This record gives sequence, C-alpha cells and structure tokens, in this order.
Amino acid sequence: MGYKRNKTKKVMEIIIFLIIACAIGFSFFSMDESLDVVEEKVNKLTVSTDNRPSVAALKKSIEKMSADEAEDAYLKYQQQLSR
Amino acid sequence: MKKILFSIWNFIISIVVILAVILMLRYYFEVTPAKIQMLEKYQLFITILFIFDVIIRLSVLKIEYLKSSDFVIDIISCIDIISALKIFRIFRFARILRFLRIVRILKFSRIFEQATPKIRNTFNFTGLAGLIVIISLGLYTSKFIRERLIKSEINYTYTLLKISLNNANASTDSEFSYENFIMSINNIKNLLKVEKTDDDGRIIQYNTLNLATADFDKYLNDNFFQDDLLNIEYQNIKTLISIKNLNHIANRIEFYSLMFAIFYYVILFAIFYFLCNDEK
Repeated sequence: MGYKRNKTKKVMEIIIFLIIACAIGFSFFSMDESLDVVEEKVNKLTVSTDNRPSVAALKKSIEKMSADEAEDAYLKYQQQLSR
Repeated sequence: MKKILFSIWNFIISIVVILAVILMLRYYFEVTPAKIQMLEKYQLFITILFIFDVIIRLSVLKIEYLKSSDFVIDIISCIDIISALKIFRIFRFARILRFLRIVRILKFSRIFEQATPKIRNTFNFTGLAGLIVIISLGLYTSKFIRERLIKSEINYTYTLLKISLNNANASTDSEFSYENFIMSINNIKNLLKVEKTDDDGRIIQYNTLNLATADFDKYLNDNFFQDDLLNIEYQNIKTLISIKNLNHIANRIEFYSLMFAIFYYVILFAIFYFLCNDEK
C-alpha cells in the first residue's frame, strides 16, 4: 500500500517537473517572439533609407575597404567607448 | 521564534531571487536608456537586500555559514554592487556582473533540507560550475558576434562614404555637389548624422531625422546608450550611425544563454531532488 502511494507521489513529482520544464520552454518561445517586436522598435529608431528624402543609389564601382582599414576603424570605436 | 523568523526571511529572499531573474530577463525587452536605468534602480535595491541577507546569515549561522557553499553563492551574487558604486563606467561590465546573480537560484536547494550536506554541496558546486560555463559561453559568443557585426558595419559605411564622395566630386561643373553627396550618403542604413567640413572651415550638418540640433541631441540621449552609437570619419566627413540593432542581436545571444542556464538549473534540481528522495 505504502509502496503504491510512494510510486504515485513520485509520478506526480515527475509530472510537476515536466510541467515546469514545459512552462520554461513555452515562456522562452513566447519571449523570443517578443524580442522580434523589440527588434522592430530598435530598427525604427533610425529612419530607414526608403523613407529618407533620397533618390536611388547612384551606381558606381564599389571600392572595398581593406582588412587593415576595418581593423583601424574598430580600434577607433573601442577608443570612443573607453573615453 | 528565531527559527520561524529565519524561515520567513528565507521565503522572502526566495521570492526576491525569482524577481531578480525576471528583472534580468526584462532588461532585454527595454529599448530606451530611461527604462533600463529604472530597472537598474530595482537591481540596486535587490543587491542591497542580498548584502543584508549575507549579514543576517552571518549573525545567525556564524562559522557554519562561512564554511558552507551557500556563502560562496551569496557573495558571487552580490558582486554586482561594484557596478552600482560606479567603479566600472562602462555599462556592459555592469550587465556581466549582474549575470552572476543567477547563481542565487542555486539556493533553492534549501527546499530539500533532508539532503545530507555532501549532496547539497555537490548540487551547489555542480550548479555553480555549470551556470558559470553556460553564462561565460553566452557572453563570449555575444561579444564575438558583436565585434564581427560592428566590423562589417564599419566596412559597409566606409564603402558608402567613399562612393558618396566620388559621386559628389563627379558632378558636371567639377564642384563638390552636396545634392549628389546627400543622395548617396542616404543609402547608409543606420545613418543618424553626417557632418562635412569644407576647405574654408565651414561645417555642414545633416541629420536623417530632420530635427534641430538641440532636439536631435535630446533624441539621441533619450534613445541610445554611448555604445549604441558609432562615429566613422573619412577624410573631412564625420558620420554618426546607430549600431543599436547590432547590439540587440548580441544581447539576444546573452538572453538565450540565460534561458538555457535556467533550464539547466531546473533539470539539475530535478535530478538531485529524486536522488535525495531515493536516499531517504
């Protein structure tokens, strides 16, 4: 009798843990969706290129920036932050 | 009486720990500095409560508390007071320190008080090591992706700046064409402001929001942190672009690691809970 009660208790506990794990999983996915909304808000803080009073890009040959130039620019950015 | 009061205090602290974790997650859903600074104030209040908790435990449990793994966890979760005292000025450090607060959830091991100290200590250290590894991996990945994204954004902006200058200089009347310049520079996706110094020292400013300088500065202060903005200079042109969207992607990786840490904790808790019950 006692063994049966213990077994039922254990099953109940396993179910509770599974429910908690599912709740965390569910909240994770719903929060992930909310983060998409936040991302949209963040993007709206800058006026998108389409809405600015500009015309279509003037097509010119694209000069690619060298890896060293990118590195220098990144270092400058780090200096800006530490200032 | 003392034991009852101590149990009530334990319960209050458990609720505060849950609130602290919710607040940590809440941070990822706020955009403006004002709201995030408000969350910071709540975080400070929680840190003070945690420090108070350490003092209470020291006075009640004395040397027994100092020897336990709980003491290590409590101290780690209070470390973010350093950021509140403004020892580190960079906001990112504050957030990294706050991440350590999650280890406090390990203290729910009190729920299985019937466990031997050996099992409790094993739970605490396994949990602590696991959480630190997951959080460190999350922070490292987030930092790595952030750096790569920023480098690529700088590259992209430079390229468009060069094209804009070429376009402006290629006008038919051989003079610098502001019209061509502005039209081209508008293709920079996250452009906020551009400033060009002429040969005669005249400074021409343009912001994509078409706001007056004071209003524009207010807009920046209200919506961006210092590390959300990037200044890029090329020849006599200064541009200000927003990298808030890139930071958001990096923050999202931190958020995933935080959620994964919570999930890890629940599984670990379940394993130890059943282990304890079997030993009884």
